[in-house]
Amino acid sequence: MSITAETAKEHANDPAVLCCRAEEGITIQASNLEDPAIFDDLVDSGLLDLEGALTIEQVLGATLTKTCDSLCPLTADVVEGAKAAAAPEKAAEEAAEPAPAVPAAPQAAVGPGQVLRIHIGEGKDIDIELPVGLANISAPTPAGVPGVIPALAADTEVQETNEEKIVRTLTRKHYKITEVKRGPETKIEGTTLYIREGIEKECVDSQELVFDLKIDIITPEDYHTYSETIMDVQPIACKEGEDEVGSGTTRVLDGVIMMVTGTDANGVQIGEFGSSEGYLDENIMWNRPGAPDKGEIFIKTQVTIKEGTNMERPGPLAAHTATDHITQEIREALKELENDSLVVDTETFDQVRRPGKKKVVIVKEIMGQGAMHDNLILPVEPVGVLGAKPNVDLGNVPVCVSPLEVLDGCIHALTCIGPASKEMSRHYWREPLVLEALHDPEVDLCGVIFVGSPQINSEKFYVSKRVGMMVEMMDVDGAFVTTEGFGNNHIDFASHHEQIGMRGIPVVGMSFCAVQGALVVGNKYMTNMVDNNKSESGIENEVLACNTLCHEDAIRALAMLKNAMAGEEVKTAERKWNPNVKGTNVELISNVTGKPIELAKNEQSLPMSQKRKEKYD
Amino acid sequence: MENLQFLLRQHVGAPCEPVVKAGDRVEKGTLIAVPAGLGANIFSSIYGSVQSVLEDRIVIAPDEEQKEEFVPIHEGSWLEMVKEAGVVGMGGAGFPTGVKLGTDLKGGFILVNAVECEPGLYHNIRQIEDNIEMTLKGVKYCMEISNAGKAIFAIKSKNEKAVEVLRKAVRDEENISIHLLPDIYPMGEERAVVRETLGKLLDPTQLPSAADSIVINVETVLRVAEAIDFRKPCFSKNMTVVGKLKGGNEPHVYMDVPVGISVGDLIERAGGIDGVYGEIIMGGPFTGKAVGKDAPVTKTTGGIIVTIDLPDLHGAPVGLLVCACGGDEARMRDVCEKMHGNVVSVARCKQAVEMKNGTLKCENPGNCPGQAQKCLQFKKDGSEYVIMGNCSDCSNTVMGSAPKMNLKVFHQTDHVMRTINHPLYRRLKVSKQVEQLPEGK
Amino acid sequence: MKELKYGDKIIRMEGVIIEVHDGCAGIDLKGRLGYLKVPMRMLITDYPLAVGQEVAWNMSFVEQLGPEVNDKYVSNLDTYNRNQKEMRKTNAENKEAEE
Repeated sequence: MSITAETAKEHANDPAVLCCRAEEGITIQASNLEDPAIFDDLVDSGLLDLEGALTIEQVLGATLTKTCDSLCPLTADVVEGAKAAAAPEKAAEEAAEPAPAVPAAPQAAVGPGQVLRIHIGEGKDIDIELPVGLANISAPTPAGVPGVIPALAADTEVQETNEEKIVRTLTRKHYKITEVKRGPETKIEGTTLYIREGIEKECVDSQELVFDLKIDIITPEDYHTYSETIMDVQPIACKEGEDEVGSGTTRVLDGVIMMVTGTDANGVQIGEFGSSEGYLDENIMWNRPGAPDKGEIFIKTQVTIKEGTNMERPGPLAAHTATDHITQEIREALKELENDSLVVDTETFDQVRRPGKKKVVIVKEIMGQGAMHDNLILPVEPVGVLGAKPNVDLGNVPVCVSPLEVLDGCIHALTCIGPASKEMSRHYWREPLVLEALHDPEVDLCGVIFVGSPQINSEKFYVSKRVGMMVEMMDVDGAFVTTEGFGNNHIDFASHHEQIGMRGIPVVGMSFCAVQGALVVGNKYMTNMVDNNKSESGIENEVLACNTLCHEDAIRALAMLKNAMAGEEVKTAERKWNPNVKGTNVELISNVTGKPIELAKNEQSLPMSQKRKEKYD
Repeated sequence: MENLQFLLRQHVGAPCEPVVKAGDRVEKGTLIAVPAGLGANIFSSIYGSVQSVLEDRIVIAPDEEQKEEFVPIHEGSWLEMVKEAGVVGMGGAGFPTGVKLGTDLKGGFILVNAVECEPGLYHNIRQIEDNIEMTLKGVKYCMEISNAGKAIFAIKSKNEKAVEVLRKAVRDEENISIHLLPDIYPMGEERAVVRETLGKLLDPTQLPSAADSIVINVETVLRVAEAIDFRKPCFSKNMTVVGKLKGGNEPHVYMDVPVGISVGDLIERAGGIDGVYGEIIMGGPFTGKAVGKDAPVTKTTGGIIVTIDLPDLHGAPVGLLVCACGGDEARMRDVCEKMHGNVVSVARCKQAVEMKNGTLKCENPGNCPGQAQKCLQFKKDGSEYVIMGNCSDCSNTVMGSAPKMNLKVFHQTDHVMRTINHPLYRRLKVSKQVEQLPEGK
Repeated sequence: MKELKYGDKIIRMEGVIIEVHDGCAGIDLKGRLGYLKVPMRMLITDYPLAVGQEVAWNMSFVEQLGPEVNDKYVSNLDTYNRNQKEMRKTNAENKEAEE
């Protein structure tokens, strides 16, 4: 449809196409041109070939030399007086130019309190904005205010509020494990972990629905082993003394993880869709926040639950609880270690509040439709079961937690379907966005909100409205909304954006979208999006944690939110998923920050199944 | 002759209130209903007796013998006489002419609408050819009443004979000129006439007075002259009856048809329907509505068209492109239903703006705003066919995209065009520009 | 990624919900056109799910991406089926023993 002069300006560098028949001799105006927004559809339908078309900027005001019909791209041979083609190169130059300015002469170029704005003009780009001279950015230009006293007051106040405040601290003591063996009792000796023989029976007996449980110890040499669907990957950790999850000291075993797998008694996978059953080394995206790291030992349980309960809520929960029986015994052994001689590393996480900086909150949408679509919130031990409340039982309402609670395993995730996008329990333990935001001196991360994603739309809107209210009360300057799901999860995901956005708070969304998870709904607040996809073809594949939120995504989201909070707009996305957009953006961020960003690998890095002789065994 | 029916609402505004009752004798020119609010007097067009007064109409049984004489209206100022005669816009809009001419144009323009844009209609052009004298007189009355400085006839250049007659008539008229229009639809829309003749595009909510002008239909002008010169009340209508009639599809032009006569009577007068037919349309192919044979002629009825049968889509999914230039959505759905199509998608042209009273007006009549996106919508919604009601220019645009998307295109007027051997509205082959007469003479 | 040849031939499918579990729903396609089992998140629901509800969605036809057989999937399927068979047998024997 014909466009306005305004739209023409926005799309100055897009191809010019007549929307309707136009007669020879007319002066080309915006109202003669078709809206570039529908070009993709038109090209798809074979209606349009943009080959050789001049840009809108070029043709405006020029004369049409031949009567042309609708959807005719305006090329040089039918237009007289077109402006010279200078535009296409512009975007790239714009992007390239400001970058070197940062190291060159920051002091001379920009004064304290000012910001360097970098605007990138192509595709689904991010606008990057960096404070230069971090000290004084929040000082509201006191010098220019007439009257000496208020200026002074403002000055002192600024200094006070700019001080960082440590709310609480979490210490992680790391214990190295190099070998896992079975033995008469569960204990840790040096770097060897012993698991009591016969513990399996107790696990089975503890859960009515569990018929059988096998423990496999998978060392790197055994990675090429067939496994049933991976239902979760968990760190093995315990609290020290009376400490609670989210503060104090946590002991964690390095080099070993718990892995829950299983089927029902008839051999049907638990959560049988898009299962990642198969050879472990082909189905795990190593080193994702939620996945095992290459080289780690897996304590893998294979739980058999009562037939037909694989899709009912109690089934997956029983499998997890039975596995936790083993983990709990390891935790006890870990707690008993008397001295710190086995500690190989100590990490300290400070929960820092930065008054005066832009206050942000992270809203994480988690599964809540039931069965394996569930999460246990706030167990007594990190990623434990005891003491935790299933998020479905909580009615999926938003629950506020501190960033340190997230990093200390406050979520025990039931993970059966969508293995590539689902966040494992371990994911939260290493949640990249929480870590990035917590460590970023330019933002004040006030907390994390978990909100379940119920099945029925009315319930989705119910919980979403609570999110809106909660965020409103926090008086934040910006919010992240992440989801580990797609499909109907995107309905509440969109609603969260709306509820937060309508309160005037900029939002950045993060989700697996690409091709298969393309958003099913949208609203005017969903302008800033980061796609978590890593897979080659943009689909939810069967590779564990492939499409989950990674460090590179966290960096992009953070840069995007900072810009949104500074009032910069993000360019409209291309209509079709284009993985290059991300590549360009990451490169640009890296250029500006001076830190290289290594992109996470995808499933293409995993061994291909050429030599598959085992199957004929 | 059957009973005649006088609808109480033949014009813009509220229905009139009857001033006769069952059993009353009426003569030709007897006042039978008066306006309640905005409206115009309604007169009997025959001698006879009132059969019944219903909620929406007065039914009059005609006498066997009918005389030519009529009851004249009172003498008065010209404007008063136009008002009393109950003259309304005869082009179809039905706005009370007495109210329209009451505007002081302060030297502005009377734009005489002789465009007769709906294909198949001929009575306006015939009037110019046959009765230019009275028509010109009416124009001068209108100019005088509304204090206009100039008058411009808007007429399509294809009507060569009428244009010749006009040129001769206005040759020595200092303040009257002719503006020629191309043969595309719609040129007769009020704001299109203003835009073409005066070069001013009005908003859909603006009246021509915003451009210091009044647009008045050429037949209305004639009725004004009759009211003033002959003291004749407005009770007759010029009409074209055309279509699938015995004796062929040539148009039958009738002057001074008595208002109130039934469609069926008129069709019989024109020879009667020839076999199986599709619809009887009252009005033009674009903006007319399907009616039954007993529907009465009103002061705004311009045409009666009997069409051939409509094609059968056997329940295929159809997208409707509704536009201000053609039928409203109800009419489009009516046509689709008669074609046994299944409406799966409805789109409205970007330029069709809904007025307060629910009717659609085009922001820039006859100049397309692009339709590709609408076609994409139809495709997306699973349509196989498109039925459009668009103007020449928009139809052309639809043809630029729909067929390439494998959408088969029908125009709302197709069955009419086939009936009267008029080209279908598809591709636009003529220019929107026409060469004007030297100095409009 | 291979482009679909008939990906734009979208047809409306209707079905009936015949199974509702906590985590998934089973749908019979009307006209004996098959059976579909999808996890909850792929269903958009305005009402509580119930057996017998009618549902509809758009889909295009299924096309092969190529003639090659991916050994990985064949192998997984073999193992899976073999395991399932064994487990069914064991499960049945256990049941008998209990009785």
